[in-house]
Amino acid sequence: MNVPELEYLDNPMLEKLEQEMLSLSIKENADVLGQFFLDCADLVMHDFVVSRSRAATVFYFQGLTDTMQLEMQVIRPLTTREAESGELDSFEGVVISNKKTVESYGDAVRSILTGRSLLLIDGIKGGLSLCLTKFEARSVEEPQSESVVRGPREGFTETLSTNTSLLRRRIRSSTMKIQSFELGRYSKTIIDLIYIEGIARDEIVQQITDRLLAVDIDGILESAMVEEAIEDSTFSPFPQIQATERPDVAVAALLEGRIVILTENTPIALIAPTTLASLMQSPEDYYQRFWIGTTIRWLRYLFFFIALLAPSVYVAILTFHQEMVPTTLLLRVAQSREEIPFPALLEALIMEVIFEALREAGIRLPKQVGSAVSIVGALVIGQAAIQAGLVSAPMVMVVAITGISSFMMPQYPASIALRLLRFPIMILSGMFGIFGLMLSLLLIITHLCTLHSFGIPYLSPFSPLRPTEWKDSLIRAPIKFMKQRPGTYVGKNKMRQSVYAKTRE
Amino acid sequence: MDSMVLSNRQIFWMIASMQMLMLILLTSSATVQIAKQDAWASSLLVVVMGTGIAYCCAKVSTLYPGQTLISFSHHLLGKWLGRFVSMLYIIYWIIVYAAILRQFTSFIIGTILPETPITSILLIMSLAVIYPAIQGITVIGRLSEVLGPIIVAGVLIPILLAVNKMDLERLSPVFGDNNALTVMSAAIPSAPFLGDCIVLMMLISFLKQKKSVIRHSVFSVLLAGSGFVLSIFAVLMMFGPMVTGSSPYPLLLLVRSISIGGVVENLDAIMTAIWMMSIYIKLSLYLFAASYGTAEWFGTKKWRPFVWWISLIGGLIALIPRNYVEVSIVFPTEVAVPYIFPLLNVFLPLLMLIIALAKRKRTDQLPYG
Repeated sequence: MNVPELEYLDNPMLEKLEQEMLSLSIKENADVLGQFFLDCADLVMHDFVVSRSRAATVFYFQGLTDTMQLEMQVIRPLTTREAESGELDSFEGVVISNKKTVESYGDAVRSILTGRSLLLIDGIKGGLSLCLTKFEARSVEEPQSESVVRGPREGFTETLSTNTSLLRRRIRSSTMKIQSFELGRYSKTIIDLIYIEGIARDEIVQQITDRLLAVDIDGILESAMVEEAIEDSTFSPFPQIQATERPDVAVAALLEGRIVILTENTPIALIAPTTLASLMQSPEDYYQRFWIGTTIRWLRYLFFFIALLAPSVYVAILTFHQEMVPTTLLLRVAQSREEIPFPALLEALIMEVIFEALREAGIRLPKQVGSAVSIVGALVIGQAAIQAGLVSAPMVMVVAITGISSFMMPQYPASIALRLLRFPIMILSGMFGIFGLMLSLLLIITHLCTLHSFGIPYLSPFSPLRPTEWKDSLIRAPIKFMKQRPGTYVGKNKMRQSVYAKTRE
Repeated sequence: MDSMVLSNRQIFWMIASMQMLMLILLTSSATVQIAKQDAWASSLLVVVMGTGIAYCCAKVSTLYPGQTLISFSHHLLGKWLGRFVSMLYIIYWIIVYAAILRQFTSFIIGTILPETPITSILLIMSLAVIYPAIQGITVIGRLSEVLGPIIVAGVLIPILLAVNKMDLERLSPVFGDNNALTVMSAAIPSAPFLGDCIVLMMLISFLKQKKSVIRHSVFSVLLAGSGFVLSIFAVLMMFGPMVTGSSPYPLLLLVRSISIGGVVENLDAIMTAIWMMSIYIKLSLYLFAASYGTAEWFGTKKWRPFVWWISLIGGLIALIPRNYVEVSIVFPTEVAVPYIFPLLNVFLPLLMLIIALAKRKRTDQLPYG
């Protein structure tokens, strides 16, 4: 596919210049680069003299370069260098390890834009691009959205090199491969595709590479944009790529044969392929004893359904199937609903919408105001609403339980799907009772059956059935017993471990 | 997406889950009415017949790997007769689709939504099954793999919960009141429901691995059948033949009478839910089979548009019966049992198997292609 270069649409001359080689004359070079960076106030062009005989210029962007190092390691040695014959025609004397020569104007411009410094010396062909990049960045902090009681406290940051180093520190093997891509016509964001050779399946790596290469977009601001560009079904409410802030989660995924995609300028890494079962796992399942890991996982499955269905079941039963409830319980509920002016469906819809609004307001507002919102909100959907006789007390409980259960999902994107799907189910069950409820559930299951994430069925290992992998989806078996990597994702290297040392006599 | 594949396990769950509940809910009453306390023997007979049909269908299909009924009937019966027979099967699937749709609608209206108009439930249900059908057989297969175990558990668990109320005495006298002929004739109303595994002749062509196809097909019918036998035993031991025969859905009666500590009662809504799963799979499977078959019959690969048309036709046919009796009693006894079952479910599969085996012996060369 031939993508038209739209970046220089207003100035086609620059596009032509991009292809040309840097000339020997530093004046001409500076002129051409000046055209590219016309009106770029943050570009610094520093002229100096090498060995008291030749003109030289260094280009860099303010705030992206370690000026101290530039001066000490590059400019000073070059200016004080004794001019001996032969040495003048090379960049000798520059003591920076990460450097490369650039030949064309295009390369020169791009290297400056990535934050490197470009050194040009009169009479030397080409330029030297030096990695002296240094900028203000957040340090490694505890991940906000996935906290654990036991487990590492490090989270990814916005800096790509920090993020890759976090992974390298955890996998000290040369088989961990990192492929780099550049996405975004203007933003030129670096995307790193990370996988472990042999464990990851080649065709999945190939598939992701192909899809990444096909992306043509203005800019990438967050990994969510990468996700949306390469995911399989855009219109599904379910996330088909897992997102995480935690390096340990990313490494666990790598060791299962999945692929991690790191995006520059965001702390959120992507993990593909993803299944529904993997969205129900929390890192802490593996850091606690397996009993509690398994139990909590079951609790999560249970609350998955409660978050999806609780208000709908309540509405369906109250509207159509009162006989399903034991008489005494039914009487209590009926008593509390006696003065309520709305039908159960409307009552549930109002409450759920208010709850969603409160939740959204609580997230977006500044922290100080947020607490005020929650106090008012608790009153609105709580005691006051009941006392005013607008909402029944059992309904408040149902809404509260639903709210709490959607917070039980270890991964935020998964709970978004539940929040959204709740409403159509509620409306169908309000209209058709259990029939509507079942129908919507069946449609959702059908939808899940149609979903794929990079060729992997979304409901795996439940459908297609892989009972051996239930060890890590239905339960969390002791790590000793999970000798094989999950066959859903894995490539050639299937065994995870050999036999443990005997711990018992 | 267009390469549709199935696994043996998916076929197993597909057939088992779609047959079990239909059999149990729709035919137990009729069987018990005829054979009284010996109905379990008739149900065993039904299972034998069903597995026999499943064996025939699977065997024929394995002789023609990768081909559906529509294409191998050409080889077996000649061009025109083959076309005619495959058309009969397509019409059969459409009619059964319509009948089940209508039966289900009547069931829903009769049990949980008495005031809802028939057309609205019919419309919603037929729209809902278009989704899996249009996604293809792989999705239906996955769906049944997920739902199948739930459906089987949904039948077994209520029966287990009711065990304490059962009494072996109610089965006696064994073969005292009936002769062999009555027992055999009691098997006839329910036989068409196990006979519908002829849809296997469409499904097996999508299989990825050809190994142990026959075993999986036969065992799926066996599982559905044993669920039926078990439920007949259960309702007979619980209510005796008189009560069972007079109730339209005996198992529903059993489920209703379960009470766990006085808290969990009236579980029949759960039964309805389970039945819905089964119906959903069955309807989407029949819709798919009819649409795919029609497309193949017309010689085109684009089968998806046919789903809409078949769904429309099926929906309209489902509106024809005036009440529950016409679709659940008149249709099976007047049409399904005397015509459809002997011709389409028994005679033709058997005939095709015999011809296929004869051809194979004569040429000693499998007609691949």
